[in-house]
Amino acid sequence: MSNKVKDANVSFIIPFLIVVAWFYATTINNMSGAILPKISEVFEAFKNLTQKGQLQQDIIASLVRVIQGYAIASLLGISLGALAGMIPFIRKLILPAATAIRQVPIIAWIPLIILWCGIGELSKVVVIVIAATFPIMINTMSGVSSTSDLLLEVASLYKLGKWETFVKVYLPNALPSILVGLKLGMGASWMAVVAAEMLGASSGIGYRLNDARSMLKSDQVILCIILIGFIGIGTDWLLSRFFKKITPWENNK
Amino acid sequence: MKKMKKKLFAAIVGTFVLSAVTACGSSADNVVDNKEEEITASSDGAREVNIGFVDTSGANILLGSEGIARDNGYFEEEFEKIGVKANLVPMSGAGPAINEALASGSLDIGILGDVPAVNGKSNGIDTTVIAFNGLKNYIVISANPDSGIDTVKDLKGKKVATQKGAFMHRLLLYALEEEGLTIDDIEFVPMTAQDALAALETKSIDAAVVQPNDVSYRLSRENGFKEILFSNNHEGWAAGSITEIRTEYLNANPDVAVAFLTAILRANEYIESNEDALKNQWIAAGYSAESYEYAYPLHDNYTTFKNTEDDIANAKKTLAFLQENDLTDGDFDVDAWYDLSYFDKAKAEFEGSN
Repeated sequence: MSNKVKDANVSFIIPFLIVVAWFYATTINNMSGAILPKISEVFEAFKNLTQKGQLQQDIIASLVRVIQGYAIASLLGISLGALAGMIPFIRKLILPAATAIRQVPIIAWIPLIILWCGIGELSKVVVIVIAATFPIMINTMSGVSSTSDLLLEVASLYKLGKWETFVKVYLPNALPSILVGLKLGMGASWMAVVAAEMLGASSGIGYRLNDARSMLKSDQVILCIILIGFIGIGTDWLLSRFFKKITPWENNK
Repeated sequence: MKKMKKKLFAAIVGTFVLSAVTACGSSADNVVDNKEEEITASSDGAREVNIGFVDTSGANILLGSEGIARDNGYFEEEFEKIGVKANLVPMSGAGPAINEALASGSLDIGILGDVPAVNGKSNGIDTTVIAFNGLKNYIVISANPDSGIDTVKDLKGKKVATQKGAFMHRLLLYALEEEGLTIDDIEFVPMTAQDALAALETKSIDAAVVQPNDVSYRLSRENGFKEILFSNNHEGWAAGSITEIRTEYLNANPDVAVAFLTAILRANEYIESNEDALKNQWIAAGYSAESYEYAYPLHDNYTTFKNTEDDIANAKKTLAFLQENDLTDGDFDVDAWYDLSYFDKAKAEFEGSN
């Protein structure tokens, strides 16, 4: 058996055990459906919501919000992180504030953001931007600031301009860290969108989850949790594939 | 050797997961047994009852008969007589949170609106109604003065917020139906009453559907918000609150239900002999006397135990509403849900002692 196949098999052990435990709890141990519905009930909920088109609408609504917020957060995080990594004054200027802000749980921002931005799309995007910018920024800064002095001296000997030094020296060195930040930022975006949609939304996976909770539809709650997990795996896989393509030298390490 | 290691690993992981599930299952399934174990294991040997009530204010405000029974010490006295320690638990998540806590066995008694109570029962939470608190819950629809909303008809296409699955949601649908509209004609925003009023005040939404209270009074009488509907003049629209108890807990502790109802009867006696008792309770909670007159002009926000037939008919109507609007897939026998024998017993004992 090849190593790849073995790795794939190992990855299924925990999900398989969870499904076995779930089956045991609901079918053999007869756990109350209000607490943990049967696997078949969750499938039924999936079928019903898909037939009505609600699930597709919710996924699209959340995806659009994540893409908008994540794009802004990536731009902000990479720019600020790169500046802070290259220029010590900017690092000293923004790092303490950034460290303080990123300690605040995203759920604590939501009431204020609703007051400032209302309950429309803007507030959800702002929540995602706040959640995703900092992991991207901190990782970018760390990657850029760890660039070897030797390389910078060589760049200076070649009389490279600031932009050229960034593109030819800092960026290739920082790219793996930036990509880690971008992956973390994507995870943070999903967590943030679900939290934002639980307050004052009328569509999205977070809205559906909260709605199902209000009506004690545990099958839909579990379905939403599973979906969030799958979408997370999907986006992470897509980003990993993309990053592998743009950093071929990392694949040989 | 390698194979043995693999088998050992699988056995350890499998045993761990199954024992976790078994433990979880038993804690969820045998709530009453566990509760009893907890009760017998408690240091002072006293039984316990956990009573949840809706408190969206987050300030531990309990109004009506239950509030008087708590504040005047009737609960404490009645439960002490049967050796039970009562814990009154404010639930800021309102009815849905009470349902969850009843389902998990964290609460034994829940005092909640008819819509979440019926929804919980239809979703399999095994409860018994021991008291129906009367049909006295109304809604107001309060609109942002800049929204151009003057009547319910004007809600079409507007952002309207209320708590989904609460009686406000049901009465909103009635109000829309009366004007030939449906929920799809408005932009429905699910929010708790507290959040809806805050969002209305900041004009993030166009209208809020709430139970008339101090904030809705202030918004309409002092801040120029328009009150486009007050449901108290609509025949058959009034909703109510329900006191339900987990059936397993009730079977094991029938005296707890009687003690609870006796405390409520004592509170009612106090309310009926003190004209301003409920108004003073309202003011003590930090609200204005004017807003009490506005919300409860009949001074009747307490448990009256009357008109059981109307109450049961209302519960049936509520179940039909939930089913018709695809809010529940469940069904149950509403008549069998009520067991007023505990009330009769409490009443007989209370009248006998007077």
